[in-house]
Amino acid sequence: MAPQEQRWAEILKRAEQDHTRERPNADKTTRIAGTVADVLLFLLCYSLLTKLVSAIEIASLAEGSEPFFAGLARFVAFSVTAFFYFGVTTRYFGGTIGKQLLGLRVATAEGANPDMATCVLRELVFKYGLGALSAGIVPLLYISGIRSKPIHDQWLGTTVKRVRGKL
Amino acid sequence: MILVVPITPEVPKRLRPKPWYGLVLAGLLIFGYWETTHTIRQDLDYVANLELPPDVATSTQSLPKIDDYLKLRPLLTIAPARGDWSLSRLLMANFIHGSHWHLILNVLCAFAGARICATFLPLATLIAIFTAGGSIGLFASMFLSNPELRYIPHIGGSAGIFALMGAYYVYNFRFRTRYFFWFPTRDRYFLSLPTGTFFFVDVILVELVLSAAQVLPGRWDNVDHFAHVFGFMSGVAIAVFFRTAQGWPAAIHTRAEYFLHRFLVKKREGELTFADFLTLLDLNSFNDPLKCVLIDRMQGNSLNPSGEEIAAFFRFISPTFMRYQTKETAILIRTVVIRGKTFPRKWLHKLPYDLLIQIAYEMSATQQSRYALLRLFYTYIAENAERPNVVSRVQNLTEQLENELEMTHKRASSYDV
Repeated sequence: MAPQEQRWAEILKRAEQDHTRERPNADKTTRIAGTVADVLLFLLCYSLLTKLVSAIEIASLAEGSEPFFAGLARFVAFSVTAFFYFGVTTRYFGGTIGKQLLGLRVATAEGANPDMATCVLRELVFKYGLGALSAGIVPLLYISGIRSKPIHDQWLGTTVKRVRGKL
Repeated sequence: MILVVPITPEVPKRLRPKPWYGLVLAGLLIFGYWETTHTIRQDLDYVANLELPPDVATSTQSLPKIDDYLKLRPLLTIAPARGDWSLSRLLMANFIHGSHWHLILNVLCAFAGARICATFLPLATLIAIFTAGGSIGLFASMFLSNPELRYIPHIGGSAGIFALMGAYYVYNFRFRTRYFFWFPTRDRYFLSLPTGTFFFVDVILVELVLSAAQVLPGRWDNVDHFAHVFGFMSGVAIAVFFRTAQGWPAAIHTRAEYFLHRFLVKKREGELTFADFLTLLDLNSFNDPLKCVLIDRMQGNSLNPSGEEIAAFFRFISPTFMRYQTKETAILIRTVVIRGKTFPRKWLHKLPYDLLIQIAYEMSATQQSRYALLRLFYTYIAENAERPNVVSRVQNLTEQLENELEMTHKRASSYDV
């Protein structure tokens, strides 16, 4: 990229971040709908991947292969799928497929996409990991209105913006 | 097709598919089931009451002997199997179903598939694609799956349904499909998504994975994924052949546009005018590839529209078009500025701020584009004076970009000594 083009790109990037920062926050219903859509889509992707993995297991023969390795293969498939579906999409596109379908973006306080570490912590560790470990109690605190913000947004300084529609 | 359900190609209301093609195909499937239900019941009774001799039933080497019993199945008089088939039975198999549920599911899908293809294909062609594509899918499945079982009948309309999906994919590849989405969005429960990617993922990707798994031992269901995949591929091939034979232009979407385009080409005896393109866009304002063709010809100087014609064209440059075709929008803006034309007020009022930034990214590569962009910003500021919130942001952005241009100009001049 030529130097002037690069400087223009920096100016425009700052303008884009300012615009995202000033967009309204997404309402609770749309956020919950996005999460449900993501869970369904993720389960579909994971289910397809494990069907292939287990077919290869059967073909390469379970006689001789330890159950430990079968379990490990599933864990790796789950982790890789989750990393790409939740982490990579949020980092590079501002949101998972479910969020993008609903016109939502995850943004930092400056209006930028979060970095990879924040995306992984936000999506995998605090949102779904903590949600599952607490048997759904942590997400319920937000859904019920006891907390005004979800824990993962509060701890990491992120927010979900509505990027389509009029200001 | 669970989370997002394709409803119609993205076309204006008057061009949306009518249901009667789907009703005709559904009726044929129901008629086929009604005519063959007696044979199906006989076949089920035969298989349920089949008593194999002990040496055949228990031996692992006895498949050829089991075949001697299976080839006597009543269903094989009307349906094909790998060891016993004919062309007529292969064609008829598309209209035979093994149970009520099998029929109901396929009738629903056939209705939906035929309905969405009605925008592009006449009824006879549609039924031909269903029958031919479905037969090819069933034929491939007969010979590629379960090679050791030669007398398993292959029946059902799902290969034909996937053939219709393949045909739809070809005709609507460059355009968008309107999907029903189970969650509320800005447009209530509907989303328009590009067919090239989403339709492929939604309809066929799952089938490709499941049919790959069907090759390996330990299959999970009795659904014939091979037939689906080969049916889809046959539908694609037949549709490509048919389109080529028709001389269907790449940027034309629906049948109505195809016939109007033919009429206009004949009337002009060759090259269409700018007004002719606007007539086509009046018929289908969602046709983005046609708008791209028009922009390309304007840039290449093969079309020289008047100010009124440009204003009329901008009615079709919607925010959706600008989001998907930002590069072409940038080309259009540059062309308008170079030719000394103006941007319509209504279009400037509707232009969202975030799209201005996306367009600016595209127009930052060359000096000419940058000056054209600034001209757009000046006009935008002038025409949106009643929206101070947005105008102040655009003004701020314009000043920063202007300063950058001045600095570059000074730097360049300082070297000209």
